[in-house]
Amino acid sequence: MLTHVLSIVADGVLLGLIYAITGLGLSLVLGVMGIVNVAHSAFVMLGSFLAFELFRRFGVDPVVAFVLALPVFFVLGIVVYRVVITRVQSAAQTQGLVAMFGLMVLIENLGTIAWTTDTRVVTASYTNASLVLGGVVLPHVRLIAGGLALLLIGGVWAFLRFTLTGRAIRAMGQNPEAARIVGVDIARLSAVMFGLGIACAGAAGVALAMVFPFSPNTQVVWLAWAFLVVILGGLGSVASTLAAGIAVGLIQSVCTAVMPFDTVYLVLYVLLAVILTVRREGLSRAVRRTI
Amino acid sequence: MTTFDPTRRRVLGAAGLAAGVAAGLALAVAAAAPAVAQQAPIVIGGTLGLTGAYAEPSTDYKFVYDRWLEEVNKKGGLLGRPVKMVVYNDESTPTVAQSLYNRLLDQDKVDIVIAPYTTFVGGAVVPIVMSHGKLLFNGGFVGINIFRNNKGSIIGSFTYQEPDYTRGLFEMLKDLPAEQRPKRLAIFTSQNPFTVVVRAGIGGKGGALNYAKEAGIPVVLDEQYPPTTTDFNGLVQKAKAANADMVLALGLPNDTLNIARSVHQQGLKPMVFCTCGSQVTTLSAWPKLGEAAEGGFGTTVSWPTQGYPGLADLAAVFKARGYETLPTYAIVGYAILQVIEQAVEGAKTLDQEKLKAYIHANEFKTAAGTFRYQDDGTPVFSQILIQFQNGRNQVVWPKQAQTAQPVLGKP
Repeated sequence: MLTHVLSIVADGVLLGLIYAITGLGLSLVLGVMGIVNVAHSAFVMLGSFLAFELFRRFGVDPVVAFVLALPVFFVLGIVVYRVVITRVQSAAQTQGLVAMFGLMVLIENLGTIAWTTDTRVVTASYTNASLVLGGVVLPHVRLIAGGLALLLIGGVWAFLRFTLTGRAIRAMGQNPEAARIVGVDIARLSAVMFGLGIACAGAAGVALAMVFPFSPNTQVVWLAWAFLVVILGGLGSVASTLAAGIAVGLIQSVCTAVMPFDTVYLVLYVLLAVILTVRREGLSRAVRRTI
Repeated sequence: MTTFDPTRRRVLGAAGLAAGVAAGLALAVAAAAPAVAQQAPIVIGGTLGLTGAYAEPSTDYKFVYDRWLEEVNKKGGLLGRPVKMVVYNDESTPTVAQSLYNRLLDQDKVDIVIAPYTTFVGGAVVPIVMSHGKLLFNGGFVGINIFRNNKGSIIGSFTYQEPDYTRGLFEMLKDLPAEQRPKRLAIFTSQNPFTVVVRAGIGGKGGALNYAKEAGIPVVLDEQYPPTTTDFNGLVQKAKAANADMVLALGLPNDTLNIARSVHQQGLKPMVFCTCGSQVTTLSAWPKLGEAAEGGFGTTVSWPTQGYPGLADLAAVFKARGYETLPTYAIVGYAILQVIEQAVEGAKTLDQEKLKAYIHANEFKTAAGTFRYQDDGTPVFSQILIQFQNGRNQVVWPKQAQTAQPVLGKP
C-alpha cells in the first residue's frame, strides 16, 4: 500500500515538473509583458523536432539538445519579437492575440509540411530503463526530464533575482513607466524577456520529446496544460509556476488512482475552478507582482 | 552565300538516313502498338492528402496507384482502353475533398471513383459520391456504419472493420489450453468513435469486451481516456495494481506508442500486450521504441509470405523505400485497384449497377487475399496477427500463415 502511495506521489511530482517547465515561458511572457502568447505550443513543438532531428541525424543526446535549444530559441524569440511583436504591441490586445494565433497556425502548418503528422519518438539509451527504489518505479527518462526542468526553473529564477538584467526585467514587469524613467531600456529588455520565454518553450519541447511521442499537431495539447499551470500559479512567478505544475501533476496522479480515468480531467478542471473561486490570484500573492 | 563542303554533305546525308530509319521504326512501332492508345481512356478519379496531416501515407498511396497504373497499361489497359488516373490533393481536409469530388464527378466525369485516405476525410465525400449514383471503391478507410448505411455501394478492401480489430487475437488465445491463457485483462480505450467500437462492438456483436467474454478472460480494468490525454503512467500503474496479465491498447498511433513506452518503463510484463486499436506496429515509429516495442502484438490484412497476387513485389518495393514492414494502407490501396481491374474486365462494363452486381457475385484475387463481398460492401473477414519479435514483425496467427510461434510474455 505504501509503495503504491509513493508511486502515485513520485509519478505526480515528475509529471508536475514537466507541466511546470511547459508553463514557465508562457507565465513569464504573460506576467512581465502582458502578451498572451498562444503560439507558445508551436515553439514547444519546434523544440521537440529540434531534439528529434539532432538525435536522428547526428545522434545528439536529448540532454545536449536541451542545452542547445536555449540559445537557439532565445535568438528565435528575439527575431519573432522584432518582426511580429513590435508591430502589434501598440495595437489593441485582441489584435496581438490574433497575431499570435496566426503565428501558431503558421508554425504548426509549416511543421506539418516538414514532418507530416506521423508520430515520432526519440529513444535514447536510457529511455527504456527505470530505477526501482523500494518498489517505486522511476523511469530514467522522467528523472532526467524532471531534473532538467528543475535546473531550468532554478536558472531562470536566479537570473531574474540576482542579475542586473533580471532585476531590470522585474522592475519592468512591476511598473514599466517607472522603470523607463530610471533608465531601463524597455524595448531591449522586452526583446530579452520574449527571447527567454521562447527559449523556455523550446527547452520544454526537448524535455517533452524525451518522454512522450509527438507530432506537429499534438503539442497544442500542451498549451492547455501550460495555461492551466499559469492560471493556477498566477502570472510571472517562477516559484509559483513550479508549485502549480507539481500541484497539477499530483492532482492528476491521485485522481487517476482513485477514480475512472475518463472523469479525471473533469475533476481536475472543477478543482481548479474551485481553487480560483476561493483564491482568484492563484498560488502567487498578487495578480501581477512577483517574478 | 552558303556553301557545302563534301564532308558536311556526307554527314548530313547520314543524318538524313538515320532520321528516315527512325521515322520508319516509329511508324512501325505505332502500327504494332495495341489499340489502347487510340481510344479514349477510362478515367479513375479520387483525392489524397498529398500535403497536410496525411501526407506521408497519402504519398505512399500515390506511389501504389502509379505503380498499378503502369502495370495495367502495360497489359493493354481495361476493356481495350488505356487507363488514366486523376488524383487531386485534398490537403488532408474534408471540405477540400468534398469540392474536389464534386469536380471529379461533375466536370471531369470520371468513370470510376476511389476513396481518399482516412475515415475523417473519406466519410465526408461519401454522400457526394452516392448522390451521383457512383460506386465508391474504398481502399482508404474503415467504418462499418458508413458501409452499412450505403447498402453495398461502397466497395472496401480492408478485410476487417472496427468490431473485428481484436478478433484474431482472441481466436489465437482460444486455440490455447485454458490454463495457458491470460486470466486478467486490462483495456485502455481512446474515446473516439472508431476505437469505442473496437472495444464494445456494434449491436452486441464483435468488440474486445464480447470477444474476451467468449474466450473466458475476465476484464479487471476497463478504462477510457480522452484523445487529448498526455500521460499514461497512472493508467499503467492501475493495470499493474490490478495484476493484469493481458493489456489491450485501443488507441491511435500517438497514444498507443505512449502506452507501450509506459508499460515497459513501469515494468509491467503482461503475457499479451496488443496494440489492437490501429495498425501501429506496421508503422516506422514502432521499431524506434526500442525494447518497449518487443513482444507487442498488432494486426494487418495480409503478409508477403502468403503469396497473394502482387503482394511480395509490393513488399519488395516498399522495403527499398525503407519500410521493414509493408504498411497496411499500401496493401489495401493496391488491392482495391486489383478489384477494379478484375471487376471491369469481368463485367465488361463501366455501368455502376452492373459492376456492383458483378462484384457482389464474384471472387477477387488481391494482395490482401481472395475477396468475397458481404451485402454491406466489406470483404469477408480475414486478418493477420503479428508480433514484434527480436526487432521485426512475425506472423503468429493464423497458423497457415505463421512465420513464428507467438511468445506470451513481454521481455
